[in-house]
Amino acid sequence: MSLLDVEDLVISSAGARLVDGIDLSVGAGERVGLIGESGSGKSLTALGVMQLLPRGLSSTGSIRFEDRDLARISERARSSLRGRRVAMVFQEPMSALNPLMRVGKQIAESLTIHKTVSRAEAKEEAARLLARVEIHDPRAVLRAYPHELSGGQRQRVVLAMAIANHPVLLLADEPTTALDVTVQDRVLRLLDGLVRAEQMALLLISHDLAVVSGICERVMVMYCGRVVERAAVDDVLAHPRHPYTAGLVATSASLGGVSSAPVRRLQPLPTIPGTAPGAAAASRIAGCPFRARCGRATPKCLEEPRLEMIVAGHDVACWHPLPAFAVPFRALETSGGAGRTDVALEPGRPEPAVLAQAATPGYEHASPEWSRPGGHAAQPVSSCDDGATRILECENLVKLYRPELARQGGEPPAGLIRALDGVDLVVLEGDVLGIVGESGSGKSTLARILLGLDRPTSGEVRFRAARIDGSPERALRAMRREVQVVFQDPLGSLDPRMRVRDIIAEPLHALGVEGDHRQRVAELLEAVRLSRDTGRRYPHQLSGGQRQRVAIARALAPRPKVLVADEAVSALDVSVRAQILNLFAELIGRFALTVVFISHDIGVVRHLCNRVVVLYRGKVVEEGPTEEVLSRPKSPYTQGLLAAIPQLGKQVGDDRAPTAEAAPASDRTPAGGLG
Amino acid sequence: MTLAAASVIVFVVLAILPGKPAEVILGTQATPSAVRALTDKLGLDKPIWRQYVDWVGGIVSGHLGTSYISGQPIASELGSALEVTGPLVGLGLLVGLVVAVPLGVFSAVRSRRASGVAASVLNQIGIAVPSFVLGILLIVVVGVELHLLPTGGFTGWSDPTGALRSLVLPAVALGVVEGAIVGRYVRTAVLDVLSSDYLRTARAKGLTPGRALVRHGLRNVAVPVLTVLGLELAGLVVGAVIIENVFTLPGMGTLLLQSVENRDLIVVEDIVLLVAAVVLVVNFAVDILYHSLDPRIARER
Amino acid sequence: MSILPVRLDAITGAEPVSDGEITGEPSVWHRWRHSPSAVVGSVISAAVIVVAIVSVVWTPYNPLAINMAATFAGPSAQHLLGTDQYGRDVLSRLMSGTDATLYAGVVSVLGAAAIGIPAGLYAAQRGGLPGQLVLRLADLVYAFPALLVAVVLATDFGGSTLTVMGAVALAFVPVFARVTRSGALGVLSLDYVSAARACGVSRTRILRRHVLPNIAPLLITQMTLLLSVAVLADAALTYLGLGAPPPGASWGLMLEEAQRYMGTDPLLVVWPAVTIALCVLGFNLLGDGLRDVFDPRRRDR
Ligand code: SF4
Repeated sequence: MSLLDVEDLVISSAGARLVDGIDLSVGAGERVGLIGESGSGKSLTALGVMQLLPRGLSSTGSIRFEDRDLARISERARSSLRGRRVAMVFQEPMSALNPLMRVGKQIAESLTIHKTVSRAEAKEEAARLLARVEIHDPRAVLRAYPHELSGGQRQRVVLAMAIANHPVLLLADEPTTALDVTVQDRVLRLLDGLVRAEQMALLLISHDLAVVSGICERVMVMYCGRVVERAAVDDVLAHPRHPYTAGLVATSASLGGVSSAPVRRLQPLPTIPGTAPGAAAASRIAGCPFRARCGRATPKCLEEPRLEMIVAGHDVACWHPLPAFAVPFRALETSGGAGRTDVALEPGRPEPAVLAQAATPGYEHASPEWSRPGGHAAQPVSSCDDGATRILECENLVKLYRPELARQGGEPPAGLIRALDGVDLVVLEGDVLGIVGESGSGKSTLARILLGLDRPTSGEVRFRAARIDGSPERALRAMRREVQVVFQDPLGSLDPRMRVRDIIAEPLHALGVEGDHRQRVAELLEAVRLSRDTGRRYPHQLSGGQRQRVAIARALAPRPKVLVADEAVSALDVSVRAQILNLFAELIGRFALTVVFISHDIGVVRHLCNRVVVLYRGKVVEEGPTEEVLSRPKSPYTQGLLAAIPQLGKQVGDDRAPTAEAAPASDRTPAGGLG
Repeated sequence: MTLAAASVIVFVVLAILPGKPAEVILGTQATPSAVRALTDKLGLDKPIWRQYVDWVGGIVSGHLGTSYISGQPIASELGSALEVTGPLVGLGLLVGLVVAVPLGVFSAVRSRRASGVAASVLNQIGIAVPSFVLGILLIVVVGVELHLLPTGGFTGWSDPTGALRSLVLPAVALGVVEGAIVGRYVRTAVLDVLSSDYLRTARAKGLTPGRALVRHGLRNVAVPVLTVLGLELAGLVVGAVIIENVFTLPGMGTLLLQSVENRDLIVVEDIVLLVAAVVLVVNFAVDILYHSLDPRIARER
Repeated sequence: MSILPVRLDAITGAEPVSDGEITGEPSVWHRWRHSPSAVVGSVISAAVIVVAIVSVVWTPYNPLAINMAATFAGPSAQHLLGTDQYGRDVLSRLMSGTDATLYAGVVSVLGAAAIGIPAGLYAAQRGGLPGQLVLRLADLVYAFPALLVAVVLATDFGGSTLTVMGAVALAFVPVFARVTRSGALGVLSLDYVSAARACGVSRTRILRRHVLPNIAPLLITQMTLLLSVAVLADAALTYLGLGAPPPGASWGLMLEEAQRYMGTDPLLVVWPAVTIALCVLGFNLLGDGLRDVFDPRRRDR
């Protein structure tokens, strides 16, 4: 008898089944991970277990917890279990705390709800709890309001509230997704330690396979509101049996950041073609929800597969599961470049561990993404200045900001914020330069200044040796033709009231590019592998990946020399991210682009860039050839950053405590919203 | 600052635009010499800037000037008018809150049930009926048909019960409609809180839905509602002007409209400025209160 | 009722209107059909507009024709809603009042929009001192509710439809300026504007191509809501004698006259009261409905 036993949980909204009959069990003291991409229903599942679904959603099914069915007992009885026996940690630490109540009071409340304690006792206990979650100055934090804390501190506070009554089960919904890598690492280790020390059971929900594999023993993979695979973590990583899981594992492995394997820069990544249908749409699909993206699909798959055990302890919902020895991620990691493969293996030929070329075109592709393996990897890997032309450079850039607190809802201001503090940078022709930094590092500010969208407080920016900082808009036109941009949020960067073809054509009009614009738009759509009729659509009718393709097409429209990409793949799900990265790699080769690729994600930078600059609090702390910086980092910050990246199949806290501590350790990022 | 600018605008607009007060006061048959004499007496022959300085100087030192018509000091006229308008607005605000808070909270919490929808519909209708129309309807029903309460006039505060009785209907007319407007904002604010993450956290801690809303919701609802309330207080003052006319109460509104009819410029100027000042002061007070309620913006100033 | 035209949610709701994220989300038409406010609101509003148009060419009787032989006639086949103290047909007067009210409302809303929207865009685009100046100016005008403006104008020019339109329009200008500014600021901070700038799109073109289309739903919603406020204000001001003078047929005037005879014929008060409430309700619901339709995130919360 497990601690938590969920049977046939269905969560629906206006007829759409967002979570479609899942079973789930967590034993006492067991750590279970729930993996899925956005819209997979993983967060709803957790809320369903707590019976805290948003208004308008309803659930059916049984949720047995400690011999009681949470779905059947009264709200009052449920309330007395929540926070006492079962607790939850949410994704957004900012909005999860009441903005108008002091932190101390909020923590004390967790205690006073369930037992009678005096105010002073509750306060004492709150301070102890804060110390427990490794907050350095508990007294000060008790008196603070949530907005006065950093993201990491807030999440620690939420954690403190959750463990206040020593619950036996903790649900953690993406507890570190909103945090920077280094902060995430520390919070994860804290979580891991607490769960072990308190012998709590943990249900950890995440989109990140590496995070889950670092903490959990068992993992369940969700797709479109269904559990498609369930097994021990090691099993899933070594022998994923569901084609979707296999794709996820392969993609995560190849973008996993630091690995001992030699990097094959710009080589195609394994991808899962297409995108997941929205949760609502998925509930209308008959048969296997993964069918449209699955290379193994057969007519049989029109029938819905059930989650069934195929070996002891390994359940899969698939008619044609992969054989146990297919595509273990370690093999992928160490095999040669040509061995990289789309994981959607065909059912007829299940044998080889690594297949060459099993690309399955997704519905949005005119042809397989990386149909020319290795054909676009020839890049001048220049790490020194001489030889190549300096195309874009800046010198001693300083940018001061007046904190706009109300809008950011972020950190407390202390006079002016130094977003950039004397940054020097040179971009050579043909470079693929990575700029790495966490929030508050000033990387986005740098991007805006390089693009001439913002003016530096002091310092110089030069494009082809001509100064552009402070130039009037007219003087920038020549530069605008050659330097284009792709932003992070694929929806926010496209005007919702314009059709795709007008969006792509906008720079052509604005910059007065001659020629047949319609023809050019068609070419561009083809270049980013979007079908022609996408041109008629509006952004909201596209998926996240398709939108980002549109944004890239717009950037390429005036045939620029330089592309600045600001977190261009960060908002995308893992499987789509790999597709877009492959597209980038291909376009870099095809159009001989110089790229400034700004990202917090070292794995991505490592995959694309020949040179890397590490930014920390507005300063360049390290720069050099990617391989050198990433394998032999010199600055302690870079070392800490690299050590903090979650690794597939590596326990949280394993063998890297020393390096992580060497980092300028502080949850406190200098300013919100600058990064 | 803003108030000073407001005073200039009021004065200039009223003084420059056509219509010589002296002519109006003396009627159409007045001789030019009589007009001139009166103009002199009223100080209207001085240059405009001088008139303005006199007026503002007077206001600052507490002398509001003398009515052109009645010759009474305006301060005393205004004072007795405020004795009516002040309590009327206060009562109106009270009625408004009594209507707004329960109505808004109820229609939000029950927004997915028939009773909540009904409350919303009622609320919409409340907004659509102007206060003076409601006032007239109240007079018809409660006063004329049922003879329960006085429908007009004011006996003065020497008879407190009588005075209060005559203020009940106007205050209800004023308050119900304002309350309906504010009720919509309460509803929105409560709905926002209900869908907030921190309320979910509070429930995850083990608070029952009702207690979670009371302990974590109220203050968060108060912040946006307060802003509206400030603006609606200004609306109440304006509404009072009209309501006084409906119920023939000798308040500021009645005084204002009489003065308009009589072209009693100085009185109009004073009252308009007074109302504008009230609006500005209330907005300012709300701003301060707002900042003290919400620690997130408290630091901004 | 407040003459202070405030829809604070629209003013402070800085988030720009945008379509939802989900691929293949329901169309605007679909959302319209599923918003009770929008359906009921548009039906009432359409009816009001039709009546206004019809009344220009046809009313059952001449709304001004006096018939002393048939005063205070109750509802009958000849006079559906009866007659007033001069034997004038109430229905005809209400109909022609619709035309007058709507005309005044539309003119004042459009007039205010014509000034307020550019001012708001300017303030959003410029920021800095000029932007602040526009904002302060808006705040200043904001301190004068329509009633005060009307009083001032009536003091100078006497009451007329023009007075009402001018006063209401002036009071609406700062509302438009604020809504436009906050909406435009929201859009201007989005990446697609940055992307457009990076493509060399000029500032004016960004305003025209990106900002205006994206805040248009916000502005249309605002206009509808303000139209209902204008109807209210028009009725109140004419009631107070600051609007069109007798014997014209306007709702406020009808109320004012009816109040004098409410002892004789209480129904005379009811007709215009119901008409005003219905008209305001219609535009209000339409405005709320439009907001639901344009901004699905607000829907149903
Ligand atoms: S093989 Fe069939 S059942 Fe299995 S994932 Fe593919 S489509 Fe689904």
